Amino acid sequence: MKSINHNQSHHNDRFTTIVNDYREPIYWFVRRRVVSHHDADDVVQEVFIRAYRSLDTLKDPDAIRPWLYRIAVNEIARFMAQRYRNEAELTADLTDKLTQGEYVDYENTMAVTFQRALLTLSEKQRTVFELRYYNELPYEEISEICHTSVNTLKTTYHVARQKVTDYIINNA
Amino acid sequence: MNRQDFNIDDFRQHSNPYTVPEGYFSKQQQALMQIPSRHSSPRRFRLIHFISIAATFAVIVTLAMLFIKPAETPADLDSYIATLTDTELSQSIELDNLDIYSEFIID
Repeated sequence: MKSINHNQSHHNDRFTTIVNDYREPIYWFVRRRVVSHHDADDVVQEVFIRAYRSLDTLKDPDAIRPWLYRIAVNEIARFMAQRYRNEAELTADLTDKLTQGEYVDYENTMAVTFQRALLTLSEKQRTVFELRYYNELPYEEISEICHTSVNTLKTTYHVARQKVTDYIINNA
Repeated sequence: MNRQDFNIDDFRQHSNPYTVPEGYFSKQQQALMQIPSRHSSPRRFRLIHFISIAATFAVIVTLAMLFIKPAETPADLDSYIATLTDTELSQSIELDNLDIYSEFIID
């Protein structure tokens, strides 16, 4: 029983470190995907609950970042699947939340336009773009997160960048 | 704006219009730190916990069986139990060959 308490304590310490290091980056990663602050708050809670429950499956301490982002990607997908029937409905609702929602700085028109550009991407393109552009993760790590080859990721990212650039140039 | 003037990488720090309620990240940290106390322990701890509960229950039942006198069973039940444990034949019936044969005649 003493050994179990020691293991539990070590487990909780690891979890505390992960929360301190990743709660903000994970929040912004989720927020840019789901747009609404309240939805992002809910999804982030689920991400860290799932991380706590599966922490003993993480053997390599250097693999925390791709492991955690993988959980976040899955929780976002779960949230989207529960909330929306199809991608068209998803895009329409997220655009609505971006243009009329709470906790959005509408005075920063270029930033709003940039996020609208991201909403024109497919879910896969948005995931890759977010991880590469905002989180600046190496392709090898994104490959672990998305279970996609590095070459495919490079192509996906290039296409996503072009689409975002085109949207901004045409709508700025 | 034309394509030559636009570099998407220049916008990285200024492309996020989203804000959070004041004090949100402090409250978020407090909420996330509650997870270990509010949610189940990891799977292997749950398994150990389950085994220890099952073992404790088995010990209690075993001890109880040593000290608790079995209640008297109804007479019918005693008789039924006796038939299950009785290995001697109480009677044997010799079948007439005709009786056996007659079961298999097809008219």
